[in-house]
Amino acid sequence: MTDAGAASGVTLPVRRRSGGRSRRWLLIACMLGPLLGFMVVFYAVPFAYLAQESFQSWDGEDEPKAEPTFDYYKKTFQSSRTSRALTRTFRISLVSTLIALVICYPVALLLIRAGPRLRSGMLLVIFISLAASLIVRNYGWLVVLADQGPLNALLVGLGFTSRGLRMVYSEGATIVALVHYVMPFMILPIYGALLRIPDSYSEASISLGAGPWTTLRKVVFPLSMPGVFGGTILSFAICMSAFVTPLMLGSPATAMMSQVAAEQLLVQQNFPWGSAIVTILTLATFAVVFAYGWVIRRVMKADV
Amino acid sequence: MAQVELEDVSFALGATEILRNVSLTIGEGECLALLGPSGCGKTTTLRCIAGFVVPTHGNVRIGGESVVNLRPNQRNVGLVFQDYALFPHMSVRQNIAYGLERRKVGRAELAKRVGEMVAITHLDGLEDRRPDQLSGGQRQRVALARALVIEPDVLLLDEPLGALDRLLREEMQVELKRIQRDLGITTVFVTHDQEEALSLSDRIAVMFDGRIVETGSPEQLYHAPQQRGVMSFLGTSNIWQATVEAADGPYLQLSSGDIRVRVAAETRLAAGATAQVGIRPEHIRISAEPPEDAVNIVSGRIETTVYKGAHVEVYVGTAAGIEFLARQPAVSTEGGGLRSGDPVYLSFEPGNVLLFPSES
Repeated sequence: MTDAGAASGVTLPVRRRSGGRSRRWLLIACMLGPLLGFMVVFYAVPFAYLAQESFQSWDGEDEPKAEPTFDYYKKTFQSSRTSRALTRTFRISLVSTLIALVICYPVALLLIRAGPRLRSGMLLVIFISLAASLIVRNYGWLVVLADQGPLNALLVGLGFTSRGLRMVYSEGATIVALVHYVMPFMILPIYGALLRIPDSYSEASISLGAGPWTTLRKVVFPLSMPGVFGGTILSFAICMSAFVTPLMLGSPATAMMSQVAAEQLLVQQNFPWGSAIVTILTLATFAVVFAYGWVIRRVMKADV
Repeated sequence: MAQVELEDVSFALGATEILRNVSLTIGEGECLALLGPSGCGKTTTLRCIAGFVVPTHGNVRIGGESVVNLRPNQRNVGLVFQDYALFPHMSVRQNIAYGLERRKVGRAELAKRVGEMVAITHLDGLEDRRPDQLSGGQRQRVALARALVIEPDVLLLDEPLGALDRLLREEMQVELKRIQRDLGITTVFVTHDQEEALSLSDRIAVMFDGRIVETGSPEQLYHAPQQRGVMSFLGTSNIWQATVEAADGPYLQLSSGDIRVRVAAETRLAAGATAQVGIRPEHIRISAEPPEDAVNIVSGRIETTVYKGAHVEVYVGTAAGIEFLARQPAVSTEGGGLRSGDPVYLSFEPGNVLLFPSES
């Protein structure tokens, strides 16, 4: 940044007069300011309070003890309910993200190959699903997966089962609804990445003797890694913090971390423990995101 | 290496006809240029041979075998793209080896052939670089090496030098010609640059509007084009319309206003017929006095001169309203003694004048 500024200052003295370093910083501040402001006021500060709260101890009284303590962190990992909720949250998020990737990558490929009318139709459907309320969509899944619902009717009709299966209020139902929820966040980054790959790359691969599958595996997929990375990160983070979906489609036995935290914060009024759970969830999500980025960059040598 | 034949190939996209009855034979080891303005169908013709375009009518044969039903990856064709299309996530070596890997070539054989191709294309020492660490000329060479290493039946190049700057382009022209000759590979390349077509190819096929209008050696097409359009597209030229007056000994005399031209034409046209007359700028001599021995003399006034280093381009206006462009070797004196407004005489040999009776 400074090198470029100094170099342009030497070769283009006009530019130094019209826009010095301070003005450039002002411009950057103007562009980033609103976002940073929101993040600080509505994310960083509350999170700091929450994190601080998590080191307090609580014995049901109003007055917290003065000594900061890691008790609730220990408790989170020791309590089978919270520790299992943590592993469950990871498992559900990971499975949902992978399923979404497998379903959405072909959709993004089709978007690229589709004619203008099919493409706008598909994009419209993708955006409509974003516009519908999460509650409405989850309720839709409740209806579809219900004991006497259409999916069960179909399964019975096709002779797969004699009686309807219990599908709602389970981890599976939560995963189905989460996959549905994150699909736009998976499709759009991959579609964007695929758009930036010139057709000539695939054609070069084919003219060198590769079939469509090899071309996808060796050329298109590696070059779409920035989109795959973006899409999976978004989807994973969304799943990790999911609250409404597991609440509606799961059961208390399949609770995810957000639910367990809400239980402590809203029902039990155990603020330190609730805060500790939220802090663990947040740090765990960040850790996974950074580790994933590192792996992609270093091991797979993809430029994301 | 093989002969490539296009037989009555047509291609239409909806109602738009892109290729109309293209027939062309490219001999074994021959280097053919498809030359034409953009949108004339030359790239589509190339893609027909590569297999990315399936003709709506007609046949494509490589080495005598029809390939219209073969997918691009089933044809043994080396294709070099205009943007080179090097895989950005692979090294130079991986790019070159890609086609061999698809052919399941053994490891030792693969290394040997990649090494040979690296040597032929002068890429030694760059094998581990990524495409974004290469210069334009080096990328071009990698694209060429990648297409050639699979020992294709035919090498197809789409605007091979279009993305290079002028100096590099001339260097790569020589390089490309050397490699093509050394390997003796049948080559088809597409270009809109007439200079590139003239200097690189054994034969040129000129395309206008989806049709091949004329094929011939660079010399033939430059010096004796059969079509007016080919003459004006290849190089610079003076072309004007004239009326046939009479046969005059071995010549045919035509006039346009007060400009009379004698042409050494074999075609005998009836008096009164109209025809296009063309002369290359370098075949026109300029003199201050009317030359005594010249058969064709036109008088006019210099309008402007453009200094081009090796030569001077002189624009001469005539009373008939036709502007002539003459090219003279540049002499050391300022302006070569040619000044705007000077009256001059243009003279040229009847043998150098071309006559196009067909287009009227």
